[in-house]
Formats: sequence, structure tokens, C-alpha cells
Amino acid sequence: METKRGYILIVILIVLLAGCKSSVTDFTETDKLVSIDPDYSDIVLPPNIAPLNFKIEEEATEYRVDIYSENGKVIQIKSKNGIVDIPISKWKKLLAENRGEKLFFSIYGKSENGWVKFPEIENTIANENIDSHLAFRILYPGYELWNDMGIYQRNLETFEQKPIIENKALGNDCVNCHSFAANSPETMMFHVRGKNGGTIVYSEGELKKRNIKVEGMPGGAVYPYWHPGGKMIAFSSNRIKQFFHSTGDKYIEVSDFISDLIVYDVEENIVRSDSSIATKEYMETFPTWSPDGKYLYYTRALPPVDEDLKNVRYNLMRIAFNATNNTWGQPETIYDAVAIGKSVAFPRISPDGKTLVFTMADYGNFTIWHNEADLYQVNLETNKTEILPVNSDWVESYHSWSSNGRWMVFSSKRRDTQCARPYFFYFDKNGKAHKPFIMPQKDPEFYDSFLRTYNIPELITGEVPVKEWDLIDAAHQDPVQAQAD
Amino acid sequence: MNALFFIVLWAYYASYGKYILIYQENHSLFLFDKQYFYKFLYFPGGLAEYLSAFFTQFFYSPILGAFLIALIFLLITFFIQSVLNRPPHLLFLLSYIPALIFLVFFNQPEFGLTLAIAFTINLGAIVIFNKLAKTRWRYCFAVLAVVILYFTCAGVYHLFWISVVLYEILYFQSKSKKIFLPLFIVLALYVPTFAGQNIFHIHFNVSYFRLLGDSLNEMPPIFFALVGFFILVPIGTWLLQSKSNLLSEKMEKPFVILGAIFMLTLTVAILYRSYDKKVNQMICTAHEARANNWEQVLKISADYDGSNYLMAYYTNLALLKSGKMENNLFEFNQELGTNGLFFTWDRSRKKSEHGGLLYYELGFINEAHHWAFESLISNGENAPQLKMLALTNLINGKRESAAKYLLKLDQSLFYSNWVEQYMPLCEDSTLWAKSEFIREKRAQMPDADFFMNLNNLAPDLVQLLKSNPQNEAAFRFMLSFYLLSNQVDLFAETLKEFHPANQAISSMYQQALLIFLSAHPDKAEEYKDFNIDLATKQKFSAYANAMRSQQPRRGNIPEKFRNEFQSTYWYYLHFVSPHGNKVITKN
Repeated sequence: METKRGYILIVILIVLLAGCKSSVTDFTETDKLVSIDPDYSDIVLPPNIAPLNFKIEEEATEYRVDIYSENGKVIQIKSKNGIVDIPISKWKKLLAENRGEKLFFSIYGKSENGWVKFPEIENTIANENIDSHLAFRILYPGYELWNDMGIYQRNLETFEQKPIIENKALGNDCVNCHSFAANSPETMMFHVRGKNGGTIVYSEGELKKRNIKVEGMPGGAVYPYWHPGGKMIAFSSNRIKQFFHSTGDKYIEVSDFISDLIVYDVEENIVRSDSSIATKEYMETFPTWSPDGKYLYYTRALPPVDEDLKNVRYNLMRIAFNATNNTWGQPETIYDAVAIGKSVAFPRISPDGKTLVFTMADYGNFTIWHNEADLYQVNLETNKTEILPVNSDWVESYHSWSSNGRWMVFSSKRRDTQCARPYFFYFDKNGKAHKPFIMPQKDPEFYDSFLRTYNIPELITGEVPVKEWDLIDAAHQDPVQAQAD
Repeated sequence: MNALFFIVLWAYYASYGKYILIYQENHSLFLFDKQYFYKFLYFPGGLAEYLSAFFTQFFYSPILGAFLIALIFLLITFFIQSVLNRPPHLLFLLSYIPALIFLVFFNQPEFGLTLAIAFTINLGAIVIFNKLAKTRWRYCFAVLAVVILYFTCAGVYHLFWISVVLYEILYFQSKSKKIFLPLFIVLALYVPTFAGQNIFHIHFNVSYFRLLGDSLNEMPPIFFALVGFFILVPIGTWLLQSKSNLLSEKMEKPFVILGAIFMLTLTVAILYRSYDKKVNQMICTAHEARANNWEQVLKISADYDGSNYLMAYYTNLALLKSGKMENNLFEFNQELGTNGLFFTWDRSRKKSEHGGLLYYELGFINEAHHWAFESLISNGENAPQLKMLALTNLINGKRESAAKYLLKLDQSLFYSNWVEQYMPLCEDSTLWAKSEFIREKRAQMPDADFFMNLNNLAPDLVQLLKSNPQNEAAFRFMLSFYLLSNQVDLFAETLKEFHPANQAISSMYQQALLIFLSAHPDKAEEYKDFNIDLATKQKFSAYANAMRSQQPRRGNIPEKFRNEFQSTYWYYLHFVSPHGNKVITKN
């Protein structure tokens, strides 16, 4: 009996030992910094983010990676091809136990001369979570034509990605301009262009399809922004034209020729506007409400003369708004970009109302095609404006805040110059922006040959509660015509 | 008979019919990649499409592709023979009918393999169903298969469940079929509703009829033909079952032989009838142009009967690329005038596929990228457009972007060698800077940026030439544009501005210059450096005399006159140009 027990003990020990992956003990150290792709070094990462899988871009026949922090167990990973696939449950546990702590990646490569240890990669785990989901549209970064596309929601805590709506059930109509009220998946809208055209609005558990174009608007309702109360949406209404560059870095130019702002009352199905935000002299676009709903921020420019698009430049403006009686104040210039020969797009205000981030380019407002486009922040208390240290030589464009104001997502084409990818960065308590990192994928080589672009990344606090089928059904209905006030 | 059937098909698609394979291979790209596979799971029928793309990649080699097609059609026939393996044996001849129906449709270049593959899978399932003698197993298989076949073959699964119902009623003596069949039909019809709403999130019509068209009205006639076949054949064989002695054994053999000869003759007749020489020429022209086989393009063009925009476009491009544009422009059909030089942008899927190559060859690299991208979106990811996107990005110095397209191509079976040529240029900036190919292409590009016109190439060419007078291709093309549009004044002006002085000009240019100088004798001094040969002058006199003596008119041109002058510019101007028979002056 005793012998039997002894055998069982030995077997259990063998199993336990086999379960433990041994760290590399015999190695030499090198000063050469290890190259990993995507670059997840010196970043601040959310404690609820999915594993930051990466590829080691150093020659070796075998790789080992130890991931550890102050508390908890070391995650040990072996790889033959340099792909580091981090086990999600261990990763989540490690991050949860180490909020505010450093996170280290120790990387070893095996060559003919044995194991070599590279200098450790150091990251920081933030205390604050990022919103659990990111909504975006995926499509080819094309010119005029489109085919299959969709608006998707990615769970940032895992790798799960689900469609909110795909156009395959809408005869490939274009779906665009998804927008959420204050990061809430409970209140959202998007446009459908084509045979099933209209604007799908989801609020207070109800789905509606509306036609928001009324007489006097230069075009349909285009760029949206929800009033924080979730009862109104400010839209721009634009007449847009495309141009194609014969040579140079930019392939395409998109410019407004007329644009005005309107406010759509979701409950009453009424479109309102005012001569102060729909002027004949200027083009007004990219509306954004302040978090208290008392101001509408937007951008404003003089229209192009003789298709001279390089002289179309937008200032950052705001105008007071009284939601009780729908009255407007006078437009004020918040940032005079024209004076320095620049042009502002996509103003977005932090939930605490203190910081505004916008995109700035040399001219125009379709910044996704402008390599010089960068992100800037304005301290709304001091009006001090500065460039954010998150930019690259390539496009940085659309951006949105997390609901807690600690995280921001933005589109950047830095990876391959043509397709926008979502990048996140952390704003610390002092308003300092940290190094950005690309949205992690299960397969770290995913972006290398993914030919489509991520459009309008919007952080949301959970999964959109409407079934895709219900959205499709709503999109197939005839839209209810909105009325002009 | 099966062997002969196979050989006939193989021989046809490896030779005359290979244009079908070329077209399909150029419009499909199979990648050995997980992500590529996943995208086929978004729709019912995705697996059939995945297999179709897999087989289509082998069309890169027409001999191999033809072998596969012959094999698939043979498999269809074989499966039907297996189902029809009931007396009278003469019925086996019917087994060729579905394959022949497919042949008729397959010879339309856009038809593709998907339906044939989905059909073959369904047939295989019907064969298995018929082989299962035990009722329980048969029913289990039918239930499982109808679900799987819906997911793999979408709307084509209707053939399976209809056949199951018919064969079960006609050929199997099971007491439980009265209960099974209604339940089976309900299941078969419910699967698309359930999957459409809960799995694929697609509309009702799409979920029921995908791969066949978006609705009953849009379904291809082939489906109705096949449904008809599958309804009539089991009923027909069942009716004839009791008359298995319809033909005596002695009589059956000659009938079978005669029937086989008839079927083979029918196969050859269908292939002959469905062969479209003009479509063949157009597809091969585009294919040869992409491969830079310009002489081959001109050879095909010379054999083409009639005028066609695509043929004219590639012919003129081939003339430009082979250096023959300045001499031989009017030796080819130019009835379309300037419309045969380029495509205007009108969001057309077809035009986007071809129009960009001219921009690429002229040095409008951004515009070539534009057209390639539009084509990629509307035609799907395919090798010609991915190659063009890789090249245009590479030339523009966007090496990371070029690498992305090259990586994509590298996941395919047959384009790795091509990728190997260019990937080093993406990875090494020094190699890129030293590359002669990059230098040559960049030397063609405009030096200053301007917005493209897209509806008319002429203003773009003018701007390109002004910004980059060294662009020889743009210069030749510009001159051809002016000649074809009867704008002799602008031709002469451009010639003087950009042609090196004292360098001989082609006889075709001399012919045009003679017309210009006849109208503007005062300009003779300005153009004295452009020597006009005595032979050209004599030919011009001969032309003028012949015009007087033979008095040719459009629609009534004496053959002698045509034979003598039809390759001259004068002839084009007076008798061919769609822009009238007069010189269009500058203003």
C-alpha cells in the first residue's frame, strides 16, 4: 500500500514539475534593445486590456518570454517563431493584481552560442480602466467606390469582435458616422446611404429610422455629435467634393464647398438651426458639445475660391446654447488656426470639460488623407494649446475620449502609411499624454496584411444592446421624415 | 465514354477555352491564410466559394486548370451515373446533361466554379443518401446533410432536399417516411431562416438563395434547368423501372453506342457554340498587356474584327509601349478616335479594372493607384490589382504600404516569385534608392502636383508635359491624342515645343505636319527643322490626286484607295475619325 502511495506521489510530482515551464537560467546578457512588433514598450496600459501579443523581431532559433510585475506569478512563454501569445487568464490576473505597478517583459533568444537575454521592456499598468469596447467601421481605405463594410464593436478586454451592423444585409449600402452619447452603447446612431438610406437612431430602448434632411439644408445630415442629455444630436450638413492629386504623398483631397450646422431633436423629430451656425459666409462643420451641454464647439472656414483647396482653413469655434429654449449666443473663436496657416478638425472635449483635443493639418478638414495631420490639446481653462507627444510623421486623425477621461483612442496611419489603425494612449492626472500603442490583436501579425482601414474609433462602456438583426430590420423600413422647426 | 468526355474537356480548356481560365484566375486570389479562410464563414455557401477560389488558383497554369475543370465535370457525371445506376442502363446517357448545362454557363467568363462545386458536393450527398439502405441511417444522414449543405453550399442545397424527398418517395419502401418527410421539409426550409437571422445576419432572400442570386427572380436559368433535371430524372427512371426490358439486350448496346456518340458530339457542339472569339481576344489582350507582352497584344489586335473600346485601349497602349505609336498608329483600327485611347472615370467596375494601366505607363502613379484601389474594392482582391498597388506604393516611396500588398500576394501559391523581385526594395531603402526600375518610373512622374481631370486625359497630359517635359511616353500619347481628335494645330504646336530640334520625325508625324503647313503656309519657317521626306510629299500628292480622281466618300471608299492609303493620317482624318472629317483648329 505504501509503495503504491509512493508511486502516486512520484507521478503527481512529475506532473507538477512538467506543468512548470522553467525560466532560462544559463544566459548571457546583451545591451541591444529587443525589437518587438507591435511596439509595446514604455507604454501605460489599461489594467483591463486584452493580452498585448507581439512578435520578437530578433534572429533566434527559440524564444522565451517572462512577463511579471510586483505581485503575482510570472507568465512564462516559449516560442519557436517569435510570436508571443500570452495566455489571457494569466494576463488578466497579473494586470488585476498590479494596478499602478510596472510590468516587465524579459525576452530571451537562443542562438548557436546559447541563450541571450535582451534588456527588459518596461511598461506601466494604469490604475484606471479603459472603456470595455471600441466601436469602429471597417472598410477599404478607398476613394469613391465601396463594397462590403461594417460597423463593429471590439471587446478590448478580450479579442472578441462582433458586428453592430454589416452592409451585406443592406445590399451593400454604405453605413457610416456611428456616434454614441457620452460613450454609452445605449444611445447611438448611424447613417445608411443608398437604397435603404436614412439615419438609424437608438435611444431609450427604441429603434427609429429618420430622414434628417429638410429644406434649406445644403446636403443630408453628416457628422454627428450627441448632446450629453441624449435627446438631441448636432449634425453638420455638407456638400462635399473629391479631388485626386496627380503626384505627391496625398492621393486624394476631399473638401466641403458648403456646410452648415443643425440640431436634430430625437424625441420630436425636428430639425433646428440658427443663422449663427448656418451662415452664408462660412462653412461650419464637426460639431461637438461641451460635457455640460451649454456650448457647441465646431470648426469654421471660408469656402474655397476657384477650387483653391490649400487655402481652406478652419478655426476652432464655440457658441453658447440654451437647451431649454433652443437659443444661441454669438460665435467665439477658441483657437485661431488660420492665423498660423493651419486648419482644425474633430474637436473632442474630455468628460471633465477641461481639455479639448483636435486634429490639425495644413489645410482642409478631411485630415485622414493628410500626412501632416497631428493631434493637439487645448487646456480650456487657460486656452493654452500644445501638440500632443503621440504623433508620428504620418496621419493622426479621428480621436475619442474614454468615459473616465483617462484614455483616448485615435486613428493613425503610421504603421503602413495607408490604412488607419486604432491607437490608445493614457492621460495621467497631470494631463500628460503617454506613448500610444496599437489595439492588440490575437495574431500580432494581423495588421501586416490587413488591407482595410479602421474608421471612427469610438470608446463605449459596453456592448451595444441591440441585435444586429433588429438594426437590419430597422434599416429596411422607410424613414420617417424629420420636420423643420 | 467518361474518358473521352474528360479528354475533350481537358483539351478544350487547355487550348481554345483557356481565356475563361485566365479571366477567372485574374479575378480571384486564394491565400493560405487564416484570416482569408475566416471571411468565407460570414455567409452561407462560403465553403463552396473557398473551394472555388482554391481550385481557381490553379488556372494560373491553363493545362492544370483545364485538368481540374475536366475532373470536376467528370465527377458531376460520375455522381449522377451512380444515382442513375438503375435499369434501363440507357439512362446513363442522361448523366452527361447536368455537366453539359454547366458547360454552357461556365463558358461565360464571370460564371466561375462556385456553383459547379456546390452542385458537386450536393450530388455527392445525394449519392450517399441513395446508398444508405438502412432507413435510420438514411434519415440521420439526410438531416445532418441538409444543415451542412446549407452552410457550405447555400441556395444550392435546395437540390439536395428536393432530391431526398423524391428518391425517398419513389425508391424506398419505408413506413416512417410519412412522418419523416414532412418534418424533413420543415427542417430544410427553416434552416435558412434560422441561420439568416441568428448566425449570418442577412436578409431573407439572401439566406434562401445565396449563390443563386438575391431572389427567385434573379436566379440564373441554370438553376431551374438543374432543378428540372433533378425532378424529372428520378420520376422518369421510376416510371421506366417497370419497363426495364424496354430494349432487348441486343438492341441496348447499339443504342448506348449511338447515344454516346450523340453526347460527345453535343459536347463538342456546345463547346464550339459557346466559344467566343472576341471575348477570348479581349481577355487575352488584357492578360498579355499586364505581362508586358506588347507584341502579342498587337498581334491579337491585328486579328480582331471590328472596333471595341477595350481592344482599342490596349492596342494603343501596346503601340506606345512597343515604341510604334509614332509610326504605326493608323495601321490599327482607330474608328473610336480618342475614345480608344483611355477610359473616363464613371465608377464602372469593368473600367476600373483596366483604366489604371495607362496611367501607370504614362507616369501618373497616383492615378494608377486610384484606379487599382477602386478595382480592388469593386472586383475583390486579385493579383493584377494587388501587384499594381504594390508597385505604385513602391514607386511613391511608400515602402511599408507596398510591403503590405506584397505580403498578401506572398500568401498565394503562384505569385511568390514576383514578390521576391520587389520585397527587397521595401525592406532596404538603399536598394530602393538605387533601383533602376524605381528611378525610371519616378522620372516619368509630374514634377508639380495638380488635380486630375478624370473625364479627359488631354488636360492632364498637358500639365504633365509642362511639369515634366522629359516624359517621352506622355509626349507620344499627347501627339496621338491630338491626331486622333483632328487637332492638327495643337499637334504641331506640341511637336515643336517638346520634340528635340533637328531630330527626324516619323512619316506619320510628317503626314500630319503637311496638313498643318498646307493650312498655315506662313509657319513654314518656324517648322523648317522638321524635315519632311520626299517620299511623304510624293505620297501626299498621290493622295490628293486619288481624292480628285476616285472621289472616295465615307461609306463608299474604293478598295484600291483604301489599300493604298488606309494607314495614313490623311485617310484617318477624312474617312475614319469620329470627330468629323475636318481639322479642328485651336480655337
